[in-house]
Amino acid sequence: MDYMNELVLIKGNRYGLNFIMNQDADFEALLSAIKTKLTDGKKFFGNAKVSIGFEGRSLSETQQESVIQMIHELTDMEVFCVVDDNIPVVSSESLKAMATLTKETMPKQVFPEEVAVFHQGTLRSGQELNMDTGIVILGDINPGAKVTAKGNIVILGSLKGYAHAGCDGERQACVIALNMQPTQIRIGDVIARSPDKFEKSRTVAQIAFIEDERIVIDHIEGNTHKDFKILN
Amino acid sequence: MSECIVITSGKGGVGKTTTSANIGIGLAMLGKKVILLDADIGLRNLDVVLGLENRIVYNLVDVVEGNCRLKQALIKDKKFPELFLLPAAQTRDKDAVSPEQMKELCENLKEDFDYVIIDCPAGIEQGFKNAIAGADRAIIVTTPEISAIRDADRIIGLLEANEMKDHRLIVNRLRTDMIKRGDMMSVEDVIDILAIDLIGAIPDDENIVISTNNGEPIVINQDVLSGKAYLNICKRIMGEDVPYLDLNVNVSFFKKLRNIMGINN
Repeated sequence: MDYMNELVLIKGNRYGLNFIMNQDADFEALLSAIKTKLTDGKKFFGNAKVSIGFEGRSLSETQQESVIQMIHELTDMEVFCVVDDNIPVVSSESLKAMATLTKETMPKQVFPEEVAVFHQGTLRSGQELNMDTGIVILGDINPGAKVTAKGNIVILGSLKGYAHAGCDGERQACVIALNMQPTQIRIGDVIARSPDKFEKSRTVAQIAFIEDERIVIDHIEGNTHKDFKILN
Repeated sequence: MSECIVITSGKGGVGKTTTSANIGIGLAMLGKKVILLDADIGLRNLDVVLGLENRIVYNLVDVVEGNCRLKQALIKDKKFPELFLLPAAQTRDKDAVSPEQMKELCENLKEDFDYVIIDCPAGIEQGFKNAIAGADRAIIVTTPEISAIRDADRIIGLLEANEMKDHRLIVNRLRTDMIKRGDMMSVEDVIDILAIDLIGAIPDDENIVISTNNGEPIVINQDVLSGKAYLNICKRIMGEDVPYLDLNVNVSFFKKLRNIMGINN
């Protein structure tokens, strides 16, 4: 997958930022990669108060310290705590800080500006749509047509061709269609093909997602949206 | 000794893809290891006719461009484990591969398979040049219509110009009732015009349309005349000397009765 080649990924969550780091790279290289990302994203990050977390490898305290220092130097953000999956930091202060944080400012700041693009019109055989975001299609995907998106794919019409959501390896992506008759659905690195004998066309909105390493298709019900993860 | 055979016609819609699918399956039924290669990049159909569309992950262009290994792109047939498909790309066009690349691909495939069957696109442009590049011999499909025959004639000329001397003819969609009435050219008439050897004649049969739509080519059904005709073609490809079928036997009882009574409808 492409994203594995990057040394560092910075992802936003409800509380702050998560640094997903390459396991094998040496720390100096990681640091310089983080530097570039922070410099590029200075405007985007704004002056939020954030908690930060590290994933992919464990950092020593001094190493963490140098990352935090870099954040303070290069951006206007303020780091108020470090979240470690193994040792949860739950001082009463940090809890309080988190509570106010989630209430007030965070989500707007962390979510990217462009989450999905709209496409109007039916995709016919041989046509291909590639997006670095999520995508909403107002039309059908005919057999032989292909949609690829880094985020979710929502089709307000029939899906009869190929759809690949989370194409850079994101397994939490999903595909939604009003009429689900795909030739093939791929989510992240998982591939599912249609049964060889299709049942009569169903006109119920359905959602495809990964469960236990397999792609499953289910009807959309009242509370489906709660598990829906917005990706870009 | 493996062979690479291209199925071509010049004109579109005469039954190249159906013929390719049936010959591929027929040869597999006769115990041969077969690869069907769809050279119709951008307008692929062979996967649909075989009912394998939903299994496609990589295609011919991916192989040629080195995005995957050859083995990864091969799709095993549902019924015949000795039959494989190498699908065309749908989102590209004929210029995505060159005749040299096709030639190399065919040579590679011939190492693993007894027969490489290439489904050629209609026309005489890049796609045709690609399809014939690696072929050892050609099977030309035509229908008994002047337009299809004219195009077949052009194709034969182009094949000969490309030094492919071994080519034989399939006459498709024959209707014996129309031939009897003198409304359609007979196989003999077609051969008179094209002056090449016949390898088979296929009757016009609605079962072919039905089976094609179900993704199960007709040759699997040996109870119908058209299925038998395709299997006979496969045997002739393998070098057997099989007598030609009498396409008249499929006339219904009532038609026979009418014939006896001298009533023509």
